[in-house]
Amino acid sequence: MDTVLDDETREIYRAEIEALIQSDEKFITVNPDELDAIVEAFDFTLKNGREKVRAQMLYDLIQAKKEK
Amino acid sequence: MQLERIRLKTFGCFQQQDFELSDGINLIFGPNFSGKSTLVNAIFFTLTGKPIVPRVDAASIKNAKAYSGTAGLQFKVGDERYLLFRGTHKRFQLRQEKNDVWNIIFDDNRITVVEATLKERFGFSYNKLALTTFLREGEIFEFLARQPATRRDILYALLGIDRLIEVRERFIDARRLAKRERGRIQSHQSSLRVTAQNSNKIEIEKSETKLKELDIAFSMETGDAELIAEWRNSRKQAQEQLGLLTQEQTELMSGFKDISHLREMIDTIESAIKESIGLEVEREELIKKVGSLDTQVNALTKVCDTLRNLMESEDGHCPTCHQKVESDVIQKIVDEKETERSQLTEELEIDKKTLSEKSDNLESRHQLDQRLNTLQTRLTRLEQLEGEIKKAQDQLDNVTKRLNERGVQLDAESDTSNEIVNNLDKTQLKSQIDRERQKLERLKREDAVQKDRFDRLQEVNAEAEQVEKTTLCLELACAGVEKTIDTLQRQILKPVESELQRWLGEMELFGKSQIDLQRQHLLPTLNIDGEDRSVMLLSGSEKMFLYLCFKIALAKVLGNTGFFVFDDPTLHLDGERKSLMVDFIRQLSQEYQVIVTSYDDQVREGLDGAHLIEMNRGMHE
Repeated sequence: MDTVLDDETREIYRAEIEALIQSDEKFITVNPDELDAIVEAFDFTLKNGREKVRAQMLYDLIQAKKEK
Repeated sequence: MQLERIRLKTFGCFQQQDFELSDGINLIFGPNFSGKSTLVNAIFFTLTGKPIVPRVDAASIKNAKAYSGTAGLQFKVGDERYLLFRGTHKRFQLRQEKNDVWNIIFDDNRITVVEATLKERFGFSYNKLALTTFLREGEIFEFLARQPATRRDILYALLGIDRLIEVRERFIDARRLAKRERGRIQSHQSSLRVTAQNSNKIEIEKSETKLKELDIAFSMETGDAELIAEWRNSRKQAQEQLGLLTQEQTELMSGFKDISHLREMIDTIESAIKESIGLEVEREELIKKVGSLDTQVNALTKVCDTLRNLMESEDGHCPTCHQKVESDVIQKIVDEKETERSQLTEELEIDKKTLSEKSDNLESRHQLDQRLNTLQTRLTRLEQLEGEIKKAQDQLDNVTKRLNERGVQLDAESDTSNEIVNNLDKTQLKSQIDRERQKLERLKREDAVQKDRFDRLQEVNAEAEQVEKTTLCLELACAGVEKTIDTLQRQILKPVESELQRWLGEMELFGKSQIDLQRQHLLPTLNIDGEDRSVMLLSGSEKMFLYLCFKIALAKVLGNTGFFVFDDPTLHLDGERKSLMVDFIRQLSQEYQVIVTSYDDQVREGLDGAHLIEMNRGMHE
């Protein structure tokens, strides 16, 4: 399962996010940079676990990437 | 993995005892309270550190007489043989056999470290073993009675997607944070917006106008009031002077249409005077001539008188030359002289008349001269007046302009300044100005603050936009995790469904049936002959077989440890179903090591040939 939850899961997640952007008008404004930021935040949380990752970190991660 | 031996020391009802296990089927057979379940529990405890029976702690499964109970399990993975010991006091030890010597390779009492080691090395985990490898007594009913959320949690842990749940939870937390932030910013926006709308601009303009009026009023009272008064005086004087000049101009222009008319008149008089330039000379000559004629006439008269006297004298001689006087000659001379005198007298009269005319003309010319002088003086004055009037007008305009610039109302009697001046004294005016100035300063300060707030609002708007986008991204992130969980669950459960379908097909339990594991967490949904049938409505034995098949399918897909442990699987089954269970176990034993406990003779007979561990109540005493 770990292998699935690493590279494969990340790719599945990216594909799901892309599908959501395509299918839901609400998310149509999300740009590729923001998508990368979301996937990066996902990967970060997946690798480090709930104990180490704080909500503020994810918020900052996405906000910081967007500001770039 | 194959289990080879169970080693117990003060564990449960056992003091110290080893139980050998073989590959294939191991039947732990014995009556109630003979320790069958303790053996199952010992295996489970060794592998997971927890009793198989929920709500029982590790300490309670040790022998009452011992300080600590220990369960051990010897097993083989490939060619390597291991021995696991776990004490009820949490001590854990892993040994590996090398050249007939058991070497300790791990010794610890930190539960998380131990569990992580076992999971990493052998793939053991509590949920996985509990749900796929072990069947404890009465477990099926407990499982079916579980809350869907509990089953879902177990499923996620089993499928390894509990990490995704953690990710989802963190994203939800972050989204909550973003929403809170958004709320905070929106509230900030609202407060700034309300303030920004309350602009003081109109108030400031009003106050400035009022203050200007008050300043003018005050200036008139004090400060440059003298100047303004002087300007006003100048203006008045200029107005008066202008009036006088205009009046004089009007008077001087009386009898004339305009100044051009006056100039024309002067030209006419000048040309008339010019024409009479020789008049004086002529008169002088005439006077001389009259004088001469008069002298001549007088002389002739005298001569005539003398001659007549001579003629009338007695001696008849000239008194001067004493010659004899001839009367005829003398008479002739007298006549001639008289004639000459008459002519001269006539000429004199004519000349005198002419002289009189000339004198009259000369007198008229003098009058013309005087008239010309008067008119020329008037013209000069009028020309001067033109300049003076223009100057006076300029001065008036200048003063009026300056007064207008100072906002002095020149004509209106009811202007504010005048009113204020009239209504307030200087002190009141000053205090009113001070108050108004303070008000204006306050308004300006407030306006500056508002401007600052407006700028801040712009920043907050930008911030709000950012947060809005971040919130959207986090919503997408959460939705993405949900979808990923669904996808992974589908991906993992699909082969489980197929495996379960295969096992049920081999057992021919439900005829033509279809299994769906996606609808409810871990709870198979059955479709028999095109009709959905709830697991809850199956018979007890059907539930048992379905549950066992589900365990095996799940174990196969998730990576089975190589053995199954079933504690009394034929409980509540009738004879026919017991036979079916025995067949099932035999079939399963072709691929896996199976450890079964039972007190049922039918099972013992059915599993004839299996490795038998016979238990009795006295063996642990």
